[in-house]
Amino acid sequence: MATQSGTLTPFVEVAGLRFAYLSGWALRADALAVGRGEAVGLVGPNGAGKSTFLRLLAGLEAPQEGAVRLDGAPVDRRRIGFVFQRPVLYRGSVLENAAIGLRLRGRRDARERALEWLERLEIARFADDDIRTLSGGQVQRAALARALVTEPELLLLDEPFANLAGAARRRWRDELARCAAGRATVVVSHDAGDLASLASRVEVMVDGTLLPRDHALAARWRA
Amino acid sequence: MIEITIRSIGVSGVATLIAAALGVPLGLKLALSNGRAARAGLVLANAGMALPPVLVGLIVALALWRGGPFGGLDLIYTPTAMVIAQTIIALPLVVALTAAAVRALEPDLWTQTMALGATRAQAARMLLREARPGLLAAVLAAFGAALSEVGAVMMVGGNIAGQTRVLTTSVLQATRMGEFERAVGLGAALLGLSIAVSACVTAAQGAAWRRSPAR
Repeated sequence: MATQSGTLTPFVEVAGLRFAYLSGWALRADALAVGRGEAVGLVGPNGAGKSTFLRLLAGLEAPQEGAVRLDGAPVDRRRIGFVFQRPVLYRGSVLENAAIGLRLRGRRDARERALEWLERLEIARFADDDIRTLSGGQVQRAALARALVTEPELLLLDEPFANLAGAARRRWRDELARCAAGRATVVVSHDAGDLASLASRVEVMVDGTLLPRDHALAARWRA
Repeated sequence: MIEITIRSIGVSGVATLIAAALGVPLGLKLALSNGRAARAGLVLANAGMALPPVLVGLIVALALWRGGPFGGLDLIYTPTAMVIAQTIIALPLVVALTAAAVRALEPDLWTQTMALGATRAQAARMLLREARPGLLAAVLAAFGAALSEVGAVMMVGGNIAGQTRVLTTSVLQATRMGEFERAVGLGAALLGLSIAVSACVTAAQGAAWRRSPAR
């Protein structure tokens, strides 16, 4: 089966997804497919439900209807790397934080692998520092390292460009593109411009609904 | 006095361990739930912190008395009865303070830990690890409440020399008998014990906090 871009075998498939909180707020996504090595952007206004949609993709919320499938199987969180807009920091060093995902999997090489990713993301010199002493940008890199150290097949990025501007924003965009290479990636932003260089296509979510690609409003958001 | 001090530490220590073993998971569960039952549980735990120890003593004594529902176990006036009473007194403290410590953590911590691939049990352990300073405070408060308890242990233990006499009941008895010098000595031992335990826990808390510049 081809993705909506028509070129790749889908790794992520969303079908007939319906989700509602007890408060009544609802999310609806009829179809989405993301192939291995494909980066899909998700854009929409603040409060449109983009972050909730990512949580559904990650298996952190259970839909009332429909399903998300990874490689044809139910969602397995261990195949996913999720970089949150506001990553939580655990007590301990940058290295300990980066290694958590592998430690949870019982990997003995957790520290070595985490250090490799810290080096790739140019924050290895802070490895032994307490993570809460890092700047916002450094924390973002540490959070990316923490998500990537498990070598996830699906990478979810929630507003990765928040709090960055100018050259730093451009550098970070290039960095993310390198890290996303070879993985299925879904990137959420409220700025379509940021997604243009990172994602091969951009989907639009408004008022909790993933809009069809030919929807007039979706075309306006992409523009 | 050494024998009485060791018994005090033993009885209160066992009661604190049992209260911690039951109360920490329960406090965590209540902190992570938003349902009515959880809210009711928290209200009960908070109310339980002000539970009159003498009432606990009365209830445990009635339960363990020969004619009571558990009279056949022959536990009244034994250290086990004292442990039961002290556990009931310490448990609400552990539950309520654990729940407060977990609720003070980052609200998204559970979700983001699950997103790292943790099982529910692993995520629970991670949360407790993050709440370590608060948990230590909960256990210290529980031990302090158990160690300083006098009314309940007097009722269910009977202050029997060589069997159920502990520091607090000894102080009470010495005072009643006008042996003020002995009472002051026992009181000093009790105070020293409290300070020693507090110092140990404070040091442990300090080590936990030193790993967290967000203090």
